[in-house]
Amino acid sequence: MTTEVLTSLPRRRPLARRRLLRARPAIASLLARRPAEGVLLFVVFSIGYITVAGEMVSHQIIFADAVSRVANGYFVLFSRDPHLPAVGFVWNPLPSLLLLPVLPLRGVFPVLVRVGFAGNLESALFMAGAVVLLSGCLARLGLPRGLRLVLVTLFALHPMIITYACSGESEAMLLFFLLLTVRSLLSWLSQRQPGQLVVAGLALGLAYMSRYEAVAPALAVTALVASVTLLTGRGSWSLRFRLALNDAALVGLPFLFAFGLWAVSSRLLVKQWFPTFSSEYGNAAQVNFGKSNITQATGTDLLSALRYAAEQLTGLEPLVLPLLIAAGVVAARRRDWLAIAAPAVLGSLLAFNNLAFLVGASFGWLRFQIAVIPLAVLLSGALLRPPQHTGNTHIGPARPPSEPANQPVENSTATEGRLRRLVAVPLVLLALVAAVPVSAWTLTSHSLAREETQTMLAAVSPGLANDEDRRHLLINQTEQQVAADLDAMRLPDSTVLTDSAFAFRIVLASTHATQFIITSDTDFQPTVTDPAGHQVRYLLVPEPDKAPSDALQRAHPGLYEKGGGIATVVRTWRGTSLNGDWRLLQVGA
Amino acid sequence: MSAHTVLSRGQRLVGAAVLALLVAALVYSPQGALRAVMALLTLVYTLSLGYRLVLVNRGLRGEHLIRISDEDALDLTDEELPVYSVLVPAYKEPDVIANVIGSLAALTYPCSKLDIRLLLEADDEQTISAARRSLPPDAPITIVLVPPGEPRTKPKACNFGLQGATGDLVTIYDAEDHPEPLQLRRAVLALRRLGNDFACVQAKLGYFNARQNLITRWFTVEYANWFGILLPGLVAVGAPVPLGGTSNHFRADLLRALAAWDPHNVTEDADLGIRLTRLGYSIGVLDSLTEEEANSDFVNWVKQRSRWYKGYLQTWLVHMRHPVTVHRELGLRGALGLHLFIAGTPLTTFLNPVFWTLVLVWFVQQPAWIALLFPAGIFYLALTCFVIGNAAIIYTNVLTTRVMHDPGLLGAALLVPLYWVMMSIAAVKAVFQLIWAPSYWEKTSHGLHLDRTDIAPLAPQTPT
Repeated sequence: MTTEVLTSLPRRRPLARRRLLRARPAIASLLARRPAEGVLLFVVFSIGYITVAGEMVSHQIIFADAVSRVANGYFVLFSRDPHLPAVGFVWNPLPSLLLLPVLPLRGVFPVLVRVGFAGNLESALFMAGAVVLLSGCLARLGLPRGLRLVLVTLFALHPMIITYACSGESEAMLLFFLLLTVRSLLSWLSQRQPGQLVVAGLALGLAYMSRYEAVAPALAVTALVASVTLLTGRGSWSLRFRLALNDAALVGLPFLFAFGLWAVSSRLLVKQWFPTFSSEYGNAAQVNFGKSNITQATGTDLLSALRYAAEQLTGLEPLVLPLLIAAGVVAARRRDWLAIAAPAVLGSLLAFNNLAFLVGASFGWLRFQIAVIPLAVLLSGALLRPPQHTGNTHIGPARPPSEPANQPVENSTATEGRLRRLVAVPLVLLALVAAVPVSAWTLTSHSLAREETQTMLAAVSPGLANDEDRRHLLINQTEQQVAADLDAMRLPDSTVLTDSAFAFRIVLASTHATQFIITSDTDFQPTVTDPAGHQVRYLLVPEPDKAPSDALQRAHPGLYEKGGGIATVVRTWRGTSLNGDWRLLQVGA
Repeated sequence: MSAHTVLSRGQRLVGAAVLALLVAALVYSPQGALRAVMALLTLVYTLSLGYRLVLVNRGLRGEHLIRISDEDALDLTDEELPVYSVLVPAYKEPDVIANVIGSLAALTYPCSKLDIRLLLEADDEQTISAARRSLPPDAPITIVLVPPGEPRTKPKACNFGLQGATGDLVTIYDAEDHPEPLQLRRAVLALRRLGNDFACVQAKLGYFNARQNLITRWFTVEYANWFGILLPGLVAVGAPVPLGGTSNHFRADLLRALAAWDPHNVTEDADLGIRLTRLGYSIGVLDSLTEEEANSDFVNWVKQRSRWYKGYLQTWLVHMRHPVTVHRELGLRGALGLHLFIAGTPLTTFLNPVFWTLVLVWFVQQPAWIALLFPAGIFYLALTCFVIGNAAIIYTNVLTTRVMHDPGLLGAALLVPLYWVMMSIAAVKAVFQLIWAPSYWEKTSHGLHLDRTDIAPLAPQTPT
């Protein structure tokens, strides 16, 4: 065709301009609608959590696992051998990977790296996001706005939630992805759109990339989705069976992919399928090493372990069991299946963590019970949801459109409503409010909150703290001194060999990270075997009984004490904290 | 603007300059040049993948699939309905011609308002006599004989058929199509409701022989993904929609004013979709299914697919003769669609085997020369694209089988990487044919779902 024809045509207004004209009301209506509430919640709690996190860090309340996640990201970008696999394979990588865009700001804000504040920012933002998602879950349960905001606030201000919003550890990220799963599962249970399973599936995959215990909710949700489709679909059994398989694939494949990807990458790069369990730096090794400490606090037999776990759970949510029973009874009576979403996701996680603890494969930290808090809030939501809302959402063949959705079944509806307002709402709120002081007490309990108490006590109420508690506040001090002294020596690149599984605080605190040859460097192993042959000048090693798997000392027994025949001790830093002493050895001298 | 010539003079100059620059760079610094090429290709892959995922996300919301209820469609009285011209081009298809009569008779549309035009090549005796034999005397069907002459293509036949068409609306069906009976009525209502901004609605295409073999299963999932998710996604982001070969319903006056189809373009439908968008018209996707015959034979499938890929490349080249004008007319998002969807689809499919080989070689022996080809950042991007991209596309297929409520195709959806190999073979064929025989129309034989002994041997076509 010719250009003349084109120009003689009735040309419409150019598309781009027309779209602009249309865009304006769209933006206005977008702002007028609900997202504003979510944005507001997010902004308020982000600012709140970040402020508290800043306070915590300035009081030296710093959690080791948080700093180590920042270090793993830092090694990827700024070690002497920057490469992506430096992120490490012992811990699931998402918390460190998401920090990569932030870490280059270390020049402007050194605190991001030096004390790992980037991690605290991350956990604060994810926990604020979790608050928004929880509100979304409660909205899907049909809770009126006022009640919903009260419940959300009780969650957001729960002492344990505040602690882990600010700690920099990966709990917030895990809760974020799990609540996203709950939210899309609630949507799916009432609307059955395949796209909602996609969101749930992706959330579970990302949850696994944050924490390996997400394997439990992933399996539980896949099973739940398959059974719901199988039991409530229409059509022949064989069609329903295949639909169930398709839905299970939809919700389960992203997790399976994440699981396989992580295992295969680990196998390819560190020759182990699941280093968390098999590595000498992994969870299993650490638990074994800490065994006596663990059993000292939690008891040796199954019964006392069971009691310990129950105390932790009730220490965070004292009335979770009554809530669970009441929600179960109400949901069964109303045939309201939405109530099952939260127990499937969060309950399965708790079951997994506690089972791991009971069989002696876990430290039994208090934070492994954190999911009980959103679970209690969501159970409350299921308990308090207005009955007329359950009409549309019970599982089963869709109602024909001619049939009214909420026909008054009996006269009891009005009485039930009054009962709910006057009895159920106050009781449930009381149960959640009670959790605040109880969990505040739990967090200061030496036996239940073994990880958190000492630092928190020493910083917040020094009067209650003992000497050992106070040593927790100095957790970074020795390492910062070591880093400062090494920096002052102005050593060239690649001259200090150290196992960064233990020295990560020193590498982070140093202004000259490339002087260190660290565990993630591709030439680390050969250099450990023959430091002199690789032009290494100094070896930096931690006290042996604090670091049983230090690679240098395993390769050269007696290194710490006498130099292991390859080096001589030139300097010792007396450890002020529980991390113990550090020694610098000169190679060959 | 026809694909009669593949490249304009300007394009030939630019192409030669780019080629010369590449050769010079390769001579001057082979490693640097190859690295730059790899970086560029990785970027293209990443953008194409990202764009596709955006389309899936937008298309899945279902806001841009136009739904007309049965009640509304049936409520239209005969007086309210416009005259509808239905063009049915057929060439050397004596076996399926009887089917045309059957499936068109099933259309719920008053005979007095139907103008069905069977477009046959004047020298195609077999099909003409088959049509004359099976045509009922009172049917509103005209046999139009298209004078022989080059190019002997479907768009040329359609252009010829359009000349005498009397309808206010025009659509095309292939001879083997089974359109859903209410489709014409839904299209009338859809175009009426959408208003004059919309030049055309495209009905969804599906297959009646999905379960014949693995190829037809793959093809069915692919089509459901294309018409049910990706095309509505294109509508949602405001990108040009490449029309499918059949079941597109036009306003006749507009189609004539546009000079209808480009007889030299082997995907004249896709080209037309872009021309409409460039003029500021919109295209809707109509929730009404036309069932076609899925190509069940490997060789036949590759021929058909290579024609489509060649056509997409042709189309892109034709529209890129005036790049500035195109970008002004389509806007940024529309132009992204043109590049990443129309050109990106065949191009990435063409390049896939290269990258698959690279990945395989890398995992087997990790040779240093591969590491040299990829600067660190690009390496991770490429790896992410490979691992996450492929997984995401397989996952999209799993999603598609669920959206189309046909979980029996789940197995095919999971095995789809084998289908990609077939696609790549077709893409390689397409690229070489674009160079050597740009207007050669790879005829797709139909009726393969019938008993094979019934089919008359296919006469080979002469390339133009």
